[in-house]
Formats: sequence, C-alpha cells, structure tokens
Amino acid sequence: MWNAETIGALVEGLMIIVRRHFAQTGEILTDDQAKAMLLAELQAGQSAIALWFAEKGLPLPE
Amino acid sequence: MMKISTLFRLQWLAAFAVFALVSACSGNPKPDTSQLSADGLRAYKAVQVVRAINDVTTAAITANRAGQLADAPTAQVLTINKQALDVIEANPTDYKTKALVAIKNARDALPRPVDAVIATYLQKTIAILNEVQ
Repeated sequence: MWNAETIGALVEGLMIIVRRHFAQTGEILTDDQAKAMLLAELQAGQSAIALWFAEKGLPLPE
Repeated sequence: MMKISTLFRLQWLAAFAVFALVSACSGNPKPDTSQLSADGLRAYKAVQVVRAINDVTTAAITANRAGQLADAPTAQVLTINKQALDVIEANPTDYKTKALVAIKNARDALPRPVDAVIATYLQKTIAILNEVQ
C-alpha cells in the first residue's frame, strides 16, 4: 500500500493544496476588484437584513 | 512489517499534511494591496468594516432564531446596522464619521435602559468603525 507511487501521489496532492493557498495569499488586488468586493459585501449585508424583516412581516426601515 | 525508511517517510508525510492543512485553513487569505490607489485602499478597508458589521448582523439573526434575542431588540440592531451600511454605500471613501454619528444617534434614541445584548452589539460596531484609519 505505502509504496513510492502512493507516497508520491500524496505528496503531489499536498503540494497542490499548498500552492493554491499561497497563490491566493499573494493575489494582487486591483481597484476594480476592491470596489466589487465592497459592493458584494454591502449587498450581502443589506440582503440579510431585508430577508429577516421580510420573514417577520415587518417593513424594512428607512 | 514496514521498513524504517518507510516509517520515516510516513512521519515526514504526516508532518507535511498537517502543515498543508493548517496553511490552507488558516483564515481568509490576505491579497496583496500594494497596487491599490488611495481610493482602492479605502474601498478595501471598507470591505473589512462591512464584513465586521455583517458579522454582527449574522450574530443577531442567529441569536434571534435560537430564541436568545427577542424580535424587538433584533430589529433595533438590524435597523442600526442597515443605517451604517447605507452610510457606507453612499460614502464609500468617507463614511467613518457619518456612520459613527448615525449609530450613536440611533443608540441614543433607543428606549432606556438599553438592552445589554443590544448595547454589546452596538459597541462592537462602534469599535469596528473606530479602528478605521
């Protein structure tokens, strides 16, 4: 079971995980991406609040 | 029976697996912000603030659904958080003072004594805004 091929395949898989993590960490953010992230977070927050008020049958506050 | 060399490899592999998993799971990856303009950097900082406000929203809704926070105080927390999000949406690069004023005014308008849970949630939101440079 633990032959060289198996260990090699496992190491390769782990290397993919590590490479992916450090690739994400080192991602260079642009202005457009930062602004898009802000819009997405704002929409997520507004949606969660609107959904809760709708579930309770309450009017969404101004 | 496994050879010593195989056991050594397995030990190394286990250590590597732990390192990889911890690295992969350790919080949100932080992107490189060195290429951002002043406006872009302010937008990125606003993302952190909005995420923190959204965390407070999520905590309040979760507590409400679990029966730990009544509807009225939950509505008050969410109303104030909505005001903060509205201010940030309208002033994405210059929101700190306006958002703080909106939240403090809303807090002052709450019936006395202010519920301890609400006061805690609001204090968190105010602390988040105060951390913005």
